[in-house]
This record gives sequence, structure tokens and C-alpha cells, in this order.
Amino acid sequence: MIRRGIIFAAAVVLSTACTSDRVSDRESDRGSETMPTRDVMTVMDAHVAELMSLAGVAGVAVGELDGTPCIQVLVIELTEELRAAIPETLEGYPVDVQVTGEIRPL
Amino acid sequence: MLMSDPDVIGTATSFDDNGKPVVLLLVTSERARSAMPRSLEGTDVQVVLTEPIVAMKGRPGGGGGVSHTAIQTPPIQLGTSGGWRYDLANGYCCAGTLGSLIQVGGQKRILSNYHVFEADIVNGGNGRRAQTGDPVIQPGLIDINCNENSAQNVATLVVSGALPNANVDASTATIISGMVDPNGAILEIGTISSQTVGASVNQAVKKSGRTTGLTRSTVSGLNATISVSYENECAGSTVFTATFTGQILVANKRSKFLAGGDSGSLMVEDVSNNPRAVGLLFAGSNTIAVANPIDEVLSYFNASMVGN
Repeated sequence: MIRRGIIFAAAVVLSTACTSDRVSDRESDRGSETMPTRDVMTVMDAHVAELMSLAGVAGVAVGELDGTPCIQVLVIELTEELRAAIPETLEGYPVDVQVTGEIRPL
Repeated sequence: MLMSDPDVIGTATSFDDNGKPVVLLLVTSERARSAMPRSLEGTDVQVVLTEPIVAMKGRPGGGGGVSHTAIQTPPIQLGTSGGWRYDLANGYCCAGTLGSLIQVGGQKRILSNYHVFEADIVNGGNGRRAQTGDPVIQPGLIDINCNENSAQNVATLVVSGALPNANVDASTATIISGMVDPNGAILEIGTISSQTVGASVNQAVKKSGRTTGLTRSTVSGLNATISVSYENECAGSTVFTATFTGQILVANKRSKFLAGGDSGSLMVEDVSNNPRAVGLLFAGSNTIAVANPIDEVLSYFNASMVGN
């Protein structure tokens, strides 16, 4: 959906703050390597509620990171609180935090 | 006879607000508009002043464009600007994309989004709500200076009430005979398959929509849970936040794949002949786009894609 002013025919202003850059400055996993024992969809399903409950999280999905399955967390902006609250891995799968901005009907 | 005037670029039959048949004339000048008869053999004439319908300049190596916003001579192809005829409130008008054609029982219906066709659920700024039987127009109000009289009625809304409870941002409108290509051809995509295909990560996809035209991208995420807030009419206030599950995510860097006004576009696999439908695009940001899986949309309406 798009809207336009009758008088001024104003262009829709989309949010401009974010890019799709992935967070690349995270530390690599610490400690022992974890081998996933459950498939990535099951793991995501088990954690989606807690992730969606974090203020500023717009979505959670399954994707791939460098060819391996990962759990994506889409955030409106990456605050220090979110950076601290989102784990780096979940049951052995990397968590890919993506700054998407707000997701709106288009 | 009418087409002999060089400024008359199209004719069609249509219906006025009262459902009465009219002859629609598309003209490119005020001179031609004033020169046209008011009726022809007893049928009222509706004259629409439009921009010349021209092929847009193509880019080297293909991608020659077609206007996705100009009024078309019926039967129209999909992937074009359109929306609810009365989608004007609070000093703004709204529109989206008439995306594709589906078969529901004996009816062919245009598939678009709930928020394109029927999101006006309060009397609010325009004193009306979207109702079954309301006209769906081409092009949408945003492309005709918010003046409904410059559009043509192409379909009749069937209110779905999909949101906030269903998991699809979908709505349909029954086509008016002769106004929409019955084969469901989409601008710059052509006809599609009647079959669908599931999404997979890195799958190549394309869509044809009002704002960005024909664009391509790849699927980046699956089984997504996404929260999206909706307004209660054009430029209205937020009325609910819907949380969708099982959604398809598509890369959308700098909104090059999907932008405001493209909502309602059908996402198909990126093959040249009769591509299979993958999803119904409805939301996004300037980094990702979101689509309802097409099988879930079709199940909701007990429908199938019109295609080969």
C-alpha cells in the first residue's frame, strides 16, 4: 500500500536509517563447539516466543549463513540491550542478527 | 471511428458507480476530451484523460519496461497499479498492486492484499468502509491524482476479513467481464503456471508490481515469524499488530525488489515460461521483503492460480 497527499502529492518517506549489513563484529563462539542435535526449524520454534518478546525484535526466521543453517533475528535497530539479550548461538546454530528497520505493509 | 482521433488512445466498456454500462474513452488531450460525444447510441460515454501509454526506455541487455501505472486498454494485465475505488481519507489516497488472477469456484478473481483492498474498517476520515460489491479500479488512486473518475472499474470487491486473525494479508475481487485478461497474464511476466512451488533458501524469484515494475531477488529466510502493524483506513491510525508465522523472506536491499505500492504483487520462480507462484508479497523494509506462502493464501480462499 502506498499513499499520496491530495494537495502536495507528497512522496512516501520510507525509513532510511538501516542497512542490511549483518553484524560482523561479534565475537566468534567461545568455549566448546556445540553439535546441533535438533533440526534448525525445531530449534527456532523452541525459541521464537522468547526472541519475539524482546522489544525491538521485528521477526525471527530460518536462513543460511555461509552455506550453513542459521537462525535469523530481525531487529528494528541494534541497541546495546538487544545485542546483550540475543544469544550468539542457539543449540549449536549461529544466530544471524539483521538490522531491518520496521517491517510495514507496503 | 473514435480511434480515428489521434488523441483517443483506447476504448472500452465499463460500468459507472451505479453499475450502469458505459463506453470508456481514453484520451490524451483536453481538446479530445471536450470533443467526445456524451453518449453513443443511448449508452453514456465516460472520457478519461490519461498520459500517453508508451513503452518506457529499455536498458541494454533487456529489461525494456512497460508502464505499471498507466491506465490500460482492457482487458488489463496484472502487476499493475490498482486498489479500492474509495481509498481516500485524511488528506491522502492509497493504492497498491493488482497482482494476479485466481479461480474461486466458478469465479475469476484478482488477488491482492487485505490492506490494499479492504483495510478501511472505520467510517473515520471518509465516512465509509470497504464493503463487498465496491469497485476495484485500475490504475490506483495514487496514479490519477486521487481522482476516482480517471480510473476504470475492473473488478468487484469480496471482503475477506482476513486480518487480524488469519495468517494471510489477502483479499480478492471478482473480475468484471472483459476488463481483465482471463488468462491472468502479468505485465512483463506473462502467463503463469496453475501449479505452485514452495520457497527454498537462495531460490531465484521475481515479481511485477506497481512501483518497481519487474524485479528479481532471492529468498533469504523461511518459516519467519513477523509482526506488522496495520492502519484502519488510508492514512489512519494503527488499529492492530498482526503476527504472521511461516512467512517467506526475500532480500530487498534499498527497496529495489519491493517498495511502497508494490503490495499485492505475486512472487513467482524466476523462469521465463509459465513460472509457478511462490508467495503473495505484502510487507517489508528497505532490507527485506515478506511474502505469504501462496499455498496458504489459495487454501484460505479454496482457490487455485489461473494459469497453464
